[in-house]
Amino acid sequence: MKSEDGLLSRIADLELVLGRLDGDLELLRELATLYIVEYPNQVQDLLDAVSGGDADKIRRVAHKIKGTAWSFAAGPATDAARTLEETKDFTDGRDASELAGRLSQELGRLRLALEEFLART
Amino acid sequence: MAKCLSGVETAGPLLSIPSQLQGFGRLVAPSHRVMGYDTRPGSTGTSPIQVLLIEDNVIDARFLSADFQKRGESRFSLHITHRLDAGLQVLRTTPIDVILLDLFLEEIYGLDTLSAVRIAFPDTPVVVLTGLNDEALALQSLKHGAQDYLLKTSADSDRLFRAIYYAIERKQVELDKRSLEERSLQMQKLEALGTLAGGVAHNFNNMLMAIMGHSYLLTETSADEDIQKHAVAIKKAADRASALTRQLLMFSHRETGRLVPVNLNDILRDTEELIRSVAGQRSLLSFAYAQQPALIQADPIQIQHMIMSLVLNAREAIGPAGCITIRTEIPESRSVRLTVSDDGCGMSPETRRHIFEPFYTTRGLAVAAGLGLSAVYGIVKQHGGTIDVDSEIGKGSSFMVTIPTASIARAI
Repeated sequence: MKSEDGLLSRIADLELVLGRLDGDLELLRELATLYIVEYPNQVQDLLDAVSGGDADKIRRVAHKIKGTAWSFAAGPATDAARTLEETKDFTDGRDASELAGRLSQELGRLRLALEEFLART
Repeated sequence: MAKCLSGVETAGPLLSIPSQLQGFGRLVAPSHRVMGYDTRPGSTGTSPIQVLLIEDNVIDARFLSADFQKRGESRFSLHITHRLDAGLQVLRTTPIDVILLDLFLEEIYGLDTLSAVRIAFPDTPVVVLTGLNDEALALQSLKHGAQDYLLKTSADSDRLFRAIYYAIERKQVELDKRSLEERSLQMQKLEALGTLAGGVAHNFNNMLMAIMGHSYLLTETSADEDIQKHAVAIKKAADRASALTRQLLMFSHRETGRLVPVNLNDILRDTEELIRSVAGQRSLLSFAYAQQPALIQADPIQIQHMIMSLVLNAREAIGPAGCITIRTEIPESRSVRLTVSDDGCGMSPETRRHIFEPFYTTRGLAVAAGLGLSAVYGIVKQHGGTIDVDSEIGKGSSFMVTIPTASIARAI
């Protein structure tokens, strides 16, 4: 795996993650698989929170997603989750939807990147 | 990184493990309680430290368990749950040494998570795991009783393992300190009670002497049979009251006898028959004597009284039948230990806290005066000794009296 791996390196720095895992490629594959399994749940939780209009729940879901995104050194997804988590006021419902939409998009990219990683390794 | 720890994954049958995690790592049901583990980092103690991870994020949990597997060797047994209620259930059924707690669970959030754990299991150390930008909350969690916190984003496995060891150690120090404080308070309370009881008993005894003297004179001088009968009844009641005040005086260390060098083994042997009669025929009584002479500087009468009270207490504890063991030991050259054990009903921690207080009895004051063990306490104190109690409900009790050896006692 090389850092210049196009799509992957822009979405998640898996080389960094691999370093954290002592170069254990099998473990990283396992974690990537786990994320792909977990991805629909995360997105669904996010959509539920936003459609329910519960600001506290939105922040909690965003917080959880942020942790996962950070684990895969997924900068854009981490940033999107952080922005959503740190938004103080969701009085304009559209803001929450927009931010959640952006996060959902980043999570989708992360999933694709991890699928690509699994296919290559 | 904290999300990725090494070691062994374990789970008891009641554990709620995210389905995605099942199949990862080795799942082993813990079968024994960890006792006396070596808390030094890098320790190779035989009993693994039981770690409970409460983390609802399956990926975070997997990162952590991976670190335990890779670097924890056999030092840890990791139990994983993703819900608080499942975690509490594990804590109820498994002797967990330390909890790694994510504060942001699905059903509960922030410091409420920590409070829920601390209320249910105040004596189990907690290391809080927090994500990005949660340091303020982490610091707050320390104020709310967590032993430590780890930022998932910055902690490596060494830091995590160190946090686990230190959390256990810190909690142990906290528990020891609390226990010492409780003990010290209890001793102060007993001393205050002793002073009060001793003062009352002393004055009361003087009055009893007058009552006894006058009732004696009446029995000697009056020819009236009715008066004689009443005088005898007064004297008998005064004798009983006098016996009670003597016990109170013993508790308050005011009943001073002559301290002489004696062999505790000899005192026991001399009173073996008497002890057997006190223990009752249905008790299985056994004696185990120290091989060397158990020399102490003591008032033999008071020591006999102490042994009798302890045996009487053991007999009450075993009920219709059971075993009582009396043992003398010389644990070190400076002291002699007498242990009276029974396999009776045992005591709750609450009862244990009060047993040496005068007039405290579990049988009701109509049945027992509640002075036997307080007198024992006073006698032990008067001999410069200490008394400790081990007890477990349904399993029995052991009273361990330690008295300085004769040469040490003379020097005190």
